[in-house]
Amino acid sequence: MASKKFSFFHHYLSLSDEDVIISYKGPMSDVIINEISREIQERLSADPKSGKKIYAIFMELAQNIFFYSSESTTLGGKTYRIGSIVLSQEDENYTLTAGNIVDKKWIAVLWDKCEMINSMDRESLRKLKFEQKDKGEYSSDNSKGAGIGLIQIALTSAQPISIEFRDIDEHKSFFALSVNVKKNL
Amino acid sequence: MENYTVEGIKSTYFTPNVTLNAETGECSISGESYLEDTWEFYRPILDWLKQYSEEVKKPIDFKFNLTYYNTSSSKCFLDIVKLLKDYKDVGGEVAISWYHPEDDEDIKEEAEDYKNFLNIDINIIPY
Repeated sequence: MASKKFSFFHHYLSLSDEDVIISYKGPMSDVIINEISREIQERLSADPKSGKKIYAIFMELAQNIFFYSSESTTLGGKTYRIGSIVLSQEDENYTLTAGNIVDKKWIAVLWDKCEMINSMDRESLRKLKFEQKDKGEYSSDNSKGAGIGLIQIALTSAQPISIEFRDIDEHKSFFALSVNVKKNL
Repeated sequence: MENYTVEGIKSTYFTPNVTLNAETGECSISGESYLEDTWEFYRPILDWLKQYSEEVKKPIDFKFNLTYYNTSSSKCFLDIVKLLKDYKDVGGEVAISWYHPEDDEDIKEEAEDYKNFLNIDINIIPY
């Protein structure tokens, strides 16, 4: 373990760059999701309309990590997928950023999906969301709604989604998705 | 035919309140919906509606009154509305109401989309 030194100092400095409201990295268990979601509701209770959007987007992002992150850990006999979510703010916006490790085969899919979502107007996005739900089946394992989740995130935030990939090794990449919600809606 | 009810629970996951009344045809889903196994939760509701529309064949008045749901849950709401539309198409008497918090346009839009793309009457009611 000595070779994998984690610099808490650098972590601290990078988080201090902007106004971080909540930051989490670790196993994304259902209990953690619940705790963070309640914290979000509490912290943003003075800004209820934007706060509810942040809450709803957080839930989708957390569930994406819960189901799809390709990094996991086993605690007390249970396996949890690992990821990170940061909620920060500046003058006009809240920003939610979610990051996790993905298999490289998903890069093209995620990239195309986000490009498509960002190029569409609200009406077309609503139509696309409806069509994907309409044809979606629950029988297969990969249909817990991840694709629809991204469309819903774009609709809820009403702003473009930005994504980023960083190669980790020949099979894995770090994937980060970031979305803004206007304050005081 | 039996009534079907679920009492909502809010803990790590959020179970909505469900009432499906076989005598009166009054049905409702209310509260918050975010479940460990979404399909497992909604399958009995879809089965109940299917049985009601095939055996009881009386009117259905279905009320949705949700304050939060995740996208997997909304997939099941669409399945319910589609079932109700099928029932209506074969002559069933169906009324659907969708209540939403006044300031929550995302919840309102969900019902508008079902209404427009499925071409079915939904009474969308802000409160």
